[in-house]
Amino acid sequence: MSHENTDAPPYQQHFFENMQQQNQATMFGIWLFMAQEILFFGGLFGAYTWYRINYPEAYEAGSSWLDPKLGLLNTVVLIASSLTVVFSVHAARQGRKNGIILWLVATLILGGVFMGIKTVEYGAKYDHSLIPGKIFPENPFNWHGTKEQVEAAGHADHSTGLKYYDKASEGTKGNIKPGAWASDTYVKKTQVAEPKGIQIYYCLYFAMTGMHALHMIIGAGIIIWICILAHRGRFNKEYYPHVEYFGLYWHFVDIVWIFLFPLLYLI
Amino acid sequence: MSEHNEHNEEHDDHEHGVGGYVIVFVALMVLSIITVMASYVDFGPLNIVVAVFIAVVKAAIVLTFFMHLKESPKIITACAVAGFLFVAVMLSFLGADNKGYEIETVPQAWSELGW
Amino acid sequence: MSEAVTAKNYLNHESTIKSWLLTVDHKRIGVMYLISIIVFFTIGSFAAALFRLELMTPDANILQHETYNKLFTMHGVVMIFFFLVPSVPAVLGNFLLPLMLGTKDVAFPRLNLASWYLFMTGGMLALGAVILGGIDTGWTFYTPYSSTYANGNVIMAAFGVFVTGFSSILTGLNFVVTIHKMRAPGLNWFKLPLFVWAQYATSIIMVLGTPVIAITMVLIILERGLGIGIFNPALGGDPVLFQHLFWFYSHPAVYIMILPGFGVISEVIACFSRKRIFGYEFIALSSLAIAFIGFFVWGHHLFVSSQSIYAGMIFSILSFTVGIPTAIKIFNWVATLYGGSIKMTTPMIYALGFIGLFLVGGLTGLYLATLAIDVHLHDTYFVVAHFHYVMVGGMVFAWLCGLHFWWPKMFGVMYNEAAAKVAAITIFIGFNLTFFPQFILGYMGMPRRYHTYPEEWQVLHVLSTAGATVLAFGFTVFFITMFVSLFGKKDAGRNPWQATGLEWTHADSPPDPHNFLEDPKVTIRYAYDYEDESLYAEEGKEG
Repeated sequence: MSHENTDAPPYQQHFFENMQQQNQATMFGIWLFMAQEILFFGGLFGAYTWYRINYPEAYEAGSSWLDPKLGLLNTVVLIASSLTVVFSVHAARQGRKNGIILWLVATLILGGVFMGIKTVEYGAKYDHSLIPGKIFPENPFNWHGTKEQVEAAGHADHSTGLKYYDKASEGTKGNIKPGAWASDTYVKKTQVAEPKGIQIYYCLYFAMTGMHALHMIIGAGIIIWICILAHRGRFNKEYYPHVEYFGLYWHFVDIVWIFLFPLLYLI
Repeated sequence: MSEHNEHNEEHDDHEHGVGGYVIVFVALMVLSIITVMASYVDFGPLNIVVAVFIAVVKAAIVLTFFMHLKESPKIITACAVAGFLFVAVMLSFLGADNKGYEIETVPQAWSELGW
Repeated sequence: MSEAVTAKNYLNHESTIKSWLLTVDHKRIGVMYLISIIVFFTIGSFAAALFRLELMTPDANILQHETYNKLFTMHGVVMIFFFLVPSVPAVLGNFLLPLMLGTKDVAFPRLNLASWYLFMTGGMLALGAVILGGIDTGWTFYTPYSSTYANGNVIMAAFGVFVTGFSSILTGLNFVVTIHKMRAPGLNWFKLPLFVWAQYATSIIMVLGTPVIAITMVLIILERGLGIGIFNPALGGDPVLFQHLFWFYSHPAVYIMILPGFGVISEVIACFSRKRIFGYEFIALSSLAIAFIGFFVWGHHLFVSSQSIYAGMIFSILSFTVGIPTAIKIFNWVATLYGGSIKMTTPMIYALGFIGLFLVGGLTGLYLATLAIDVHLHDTYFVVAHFHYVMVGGMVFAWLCGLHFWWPKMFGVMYNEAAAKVAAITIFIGFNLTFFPQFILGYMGMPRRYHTYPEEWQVLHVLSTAGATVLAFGFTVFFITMFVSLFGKKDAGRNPWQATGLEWTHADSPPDPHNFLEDPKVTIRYAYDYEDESLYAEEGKEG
């Protein structure tokens, strides 16, 4: 019977004619999954677009509480983790089992750094009473709190998280000078007025970065699984699909962040 | 197995050396710094265009080199393009059509709503 | 032949529960989907029966207002997400695609099984929401009602839709890869059965459209559970954004629901006209055109939702445009019938019914796509009648058509033709009696989802409910006919309809677990080559 291919490798599925067909089919399937993930995040970017048109001041004000330094650090860390993933696939291609594990663990560590920075940022949001909704009823969303009020209420001072504008010429973005972020001579531009729709900005911030972080956590789980498989000798020079496809997934998560960073932190 | 060798050969022919990947990484770093620097300059309504454009370039680099889109069959590129294309269509319509009305309600704090 | 009864096939080669629940055989998965969607169809029908009963009288007699709302919501959610979307793709598509392509299974059989489990999980969650008290938001979950004020278990229902969405995405993914990568040697794209082309177009929509409703459900859950105000005007949100995101999927979703039906009709019309389908390439490519254009018309659901006039005009024109490839199909089917040697079997009755009823549904869709008319007809019974004509008169008829056509292939038995025909005619009559009065009701202004209405409309409602009773009777006859047939002699033969296509010419009825005893090589000139009898005629069988 033609479907008993005795010289096929043990990891070839019986309904494929040969490994080339299996590899091509699986690669195509993974990319289709990536396409749907693009649409999945696309919905969130759609909501972002909608409210940016409706509430431009809220976006500018809201992003002033996001620290671009931390954002840039996160970007660097995540792109570096993409590099380590590529090295891991490279090691797989050369059949180096320990190389796979080494570079995947490096990716995991960098991912952990990313999540650590994210935690710091989320913590800062909590301290500044910028978490919308009823998650923390004891600390509801309150835009009106100035830095002094925040301190008086007993929250820690996270001045490194604030973006300051030149006091003398409030309102013009072009006046931000490098290094202005942590200086005392500048004040927060929108200290008093409540921009319309400011809650929505933070809803989107948390929804988008939260969904992204969830994908990273799932990725971390997959890394551990693949490391276990690699350790057991599942892969060889010709067969390392898990590593390759995980690489694609991780790069996708990186691409989402590449768009999130400027849209949330920089503009 | 000739198919296995073929598969391997495909990869060897187009394999970037490790150095190639590092160059791509450096390019992405440079672009990241450029995008931060660009955020200091006020292009007016073009701010978002500049930011998105640089992001698209970075994403394209990741897709082409890290994700090996360059040496993948064309159908795979079609997948990626289709995904981004439909998102672009959705965002275009959402961006173009919401000044037909003004959101009038004054947003309140959650705690004031009494729910 | 008595050998056929004892021959090894996918149904009898292993019979433990485990061999079914852990199967990776696409044919068994298709059968499991069949049983599941019939259960959901029954549940959705009971809901409809109850509220049609209530609507016989102008006042609220049987149901309280909230219960009425919960019933029509359940009807919509169950029928759309758990019956129509999987009806042809998951049942017939799963069963037939590898057979039609001449291969042993789909590209990712374990993923296929996972899709079924995801589907059942989503279904259980949605039913759980109903059992725990139900949701009364309508299947469209419009905010801020659904995200803020609704009483009920919106989160659970929304999560059920989310999970089922992934079932849909993975099935679509599976099919696209299978069609691209696993065709038999010699089977190039333009020799494929049109059913395959239709599944391909459907699968593309499934993969690209469904994630948007997935994220929309996530946002609803976040809004309701965590109190963030993304769609809630009191907190600065915008309900129209929800509508845009929801309909960005849900409009292509209706093409997911109908395109596979088009595929079935193409197969059946060609077979029972004994003729090559007219304009094969046009029908094939029109499926892709519908899939593509269908992504750009969602705004026609928002004509009266404060969308700008300019966007309204664009969506209106595009909605008219999507009717063109659809019309091409109808013209081509009719041209296929012309000059053909028509055999009025049960599948053919359903197919002919489809053409007429879908035509009515499609044309009334054009009325609704017209901006000015839609202002008058939006949210009335006219819309309800329109979508039931396309979804029931169109899709359900196509599903029934396909079931009857491929039933002997799937189970090796023939159903009682007379009883099946009686069911078909009864369903046709019942359907028209139920829904045609609703066009008139809508035109006169009766809003949809209303529990009570002015007395002068009672006659039309009574007619509609009477029709629903006839419809229920027809479906009962259908179910009994098909169920009884399973206990008959398994002697349908490999190709009882003398049809073309690898599933008929090369696979047994029911098929071997691995589909083909020898890998088929395709040497036909073109698809639907009914002139060359040697391709499909079975020895000893009448033509």
